[in-house]
Amino acid sequence: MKKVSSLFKAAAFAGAAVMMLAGCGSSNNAGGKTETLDENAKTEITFAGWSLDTTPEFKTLADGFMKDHPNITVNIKQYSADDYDTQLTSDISGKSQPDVFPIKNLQKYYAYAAESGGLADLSDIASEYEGDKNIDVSQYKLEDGKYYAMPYRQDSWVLFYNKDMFEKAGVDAPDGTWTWDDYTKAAEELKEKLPAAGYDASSVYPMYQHGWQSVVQGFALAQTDGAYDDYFKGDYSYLKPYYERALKWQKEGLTIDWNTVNSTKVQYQAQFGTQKAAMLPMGTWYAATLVSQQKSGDADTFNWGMAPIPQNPDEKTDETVTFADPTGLAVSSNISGQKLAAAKEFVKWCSGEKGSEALAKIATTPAYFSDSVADTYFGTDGMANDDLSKKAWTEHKTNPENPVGAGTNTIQDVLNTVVHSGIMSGTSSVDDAIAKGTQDIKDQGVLQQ
Amino acid sequence: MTQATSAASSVRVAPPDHSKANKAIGRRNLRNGLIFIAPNFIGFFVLILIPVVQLFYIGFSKWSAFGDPKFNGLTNWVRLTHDSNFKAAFVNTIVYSVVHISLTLAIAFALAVLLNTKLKGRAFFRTVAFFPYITSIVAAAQVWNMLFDVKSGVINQIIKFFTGGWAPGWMGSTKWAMVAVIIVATWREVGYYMILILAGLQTIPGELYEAASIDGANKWQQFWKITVPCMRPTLFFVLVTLTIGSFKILDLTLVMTNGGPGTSTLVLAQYIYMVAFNRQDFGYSGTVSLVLFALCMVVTLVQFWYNNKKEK
Repeated sequence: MKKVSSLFKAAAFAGAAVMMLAGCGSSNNAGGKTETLDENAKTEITFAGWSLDTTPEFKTLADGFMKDHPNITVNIKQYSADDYDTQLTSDISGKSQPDVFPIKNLQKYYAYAAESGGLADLSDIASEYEGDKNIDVSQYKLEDGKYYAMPYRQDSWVLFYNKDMFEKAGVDAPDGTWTWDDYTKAAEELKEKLPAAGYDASSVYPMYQHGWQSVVQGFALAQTDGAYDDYFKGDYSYLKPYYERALKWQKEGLTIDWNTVNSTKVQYQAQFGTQKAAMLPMGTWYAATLVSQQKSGDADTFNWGMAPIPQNPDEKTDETVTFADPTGLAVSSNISGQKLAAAKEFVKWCSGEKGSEALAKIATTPAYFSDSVADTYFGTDGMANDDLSKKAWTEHKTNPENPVGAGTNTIQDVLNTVVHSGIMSGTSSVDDAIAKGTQDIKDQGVLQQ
Repeated sequence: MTQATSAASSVRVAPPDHSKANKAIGRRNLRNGLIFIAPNFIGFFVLILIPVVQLFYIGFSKWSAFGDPKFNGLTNWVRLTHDSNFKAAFVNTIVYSVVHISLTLAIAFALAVLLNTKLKGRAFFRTVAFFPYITSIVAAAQVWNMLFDVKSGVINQIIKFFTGGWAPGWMGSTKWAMVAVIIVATWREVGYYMILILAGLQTIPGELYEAASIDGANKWQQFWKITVPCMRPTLFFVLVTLTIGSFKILDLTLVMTNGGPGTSTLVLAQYIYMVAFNRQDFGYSGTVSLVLFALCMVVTLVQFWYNNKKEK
């Protein structure tokens, strides 16, 4: 159903082919000593999560799994949502990491998987998903062909839009074929017509572009041909057209300007949820928040939908290309025997159809996109369930937010502090910022020779 | 002869007995002294000294926080020389420190002198001046962010009233963000240093001023010839703590601007954090830490040297 593939898959295809030809795949080499799970033995494993009160996914997964495996107990260990990576880093270096723990994004994954030695090899689980159209695990494959995490959530960026605002203003709503130029045109039209429809011109904007680096760079990287190769070669010119558009939107007052977003700490949930913006490019995780905020009254009640994210006007594709990092689960390398077997079983359950069903029920976008999972997701109360929303959620090619490699952490950081912040704050021109960022990255010695 | 010697020796024996007792007392005092400082020193040793010594190795290594640091000689230091972010952070830290130290010192001194006079309600004003120091910096920074808001902030409303429309861009502008940070930092710390200076002022004997005024010295002369010299020990302490505190500035820029826009308010301490935890490059972050360490050290030593010279 979902067209799961990624540039990485293509890049690593040769390696994968060799492994498949070799027989049973990597599982035999890597997980040769795989322990078999004894379902009757009482086993306890620990599982890391954050903000348990507001993020129900951890408990949902643990409870669902324990129901299927009554002799295994999953104890959730709470971490801080903001400092998760810092805490996890110190836990792993002190060899006290929980048995199973989430990998929040791909940027940090490489350091954990390749350098820390704290993650167990999960290649045997990956090999079971080989050829399964419903799930894409390729983003976790390292250069050595091994996998150290499995996805349990695969969000992707879509365009949220307020149907009521479009209707009242008399502007054509997204139809699934938009490029970023169409997005600009619609926004300009909205800006002109929204005041007449009764919206306050000084506080209501046609769109809301959040302040994150990924809001510009994620799309530029995912939607430009060859950008993933350029990334490690130090050529960041693919960012230019995306930044020029972002600056234009800001200049024309189609969105709140970046400096205000940052200094007043604007929340995208409030901006879209209280109808201050008609369009919002955001990850599918926001759907669950919006549903619950509309129920609780934190958000206004209005009709909304998800549309496929606008495409690069300079490139022709017949499929929707968007980006997002999977959220994965990793297993500690400190455990063995029955505990390891139970932890692996848990990860497999979470990334598989059962775990995905459980997540879809709480409106969380899972990693396994079978028809029944999609039906469950769109059947949840308060969810947008028009055809375009379903299409946006299920049919797209999702590229990672950034390539995974030894220099990723540094490159992302420079692209954020020097390029993104420099351009969006108006400190430097697009060309200057990209040139300076490129030089900085070169000076840090992280580019591929 | 022998008797005499023995008598003499017995006389001579007596003092060692005393010194033995003295030694015992000395030993006991030493032991008690050590016990008293032990809690502090053990904490200092384990939590500060050992990590600082380790830092000297980490700063010359490559380390991602996992496994052991690998020594890589001067590689990190060469990187430092053409790292434009480091340069920006270094310059920002110096600019911040120089402006912030002089501003804080001047205002704190002026306030202290003012509140040392027989002013009506001075206890109230002393409390008011000290208040910012005990306020949570995160909460205070949020409120200041609102005050500095370019469009709807109170500060710009007032400025616009006088300038007829022009107002600084504050947090959103690379030129003004540092100014805003310095204003808030000064506002926060002036009260604390005012109290320290006030305590110093009150140790100056009133007779000195009396004598000076009889000799015909005016207030201004009294200030420079009596107040300032008498205050040198206090001012020295204030200057050293203020300098070290300024070089280590982190919390304010983190909450107010997060180093931005661009790198306009990026300071060394934040760059150290960024390199370590965002880039997972603890070795290089150690190198930058060493630079900050050296900077604090050198400036403080210069201050000590100057103070000693003046004292002689």
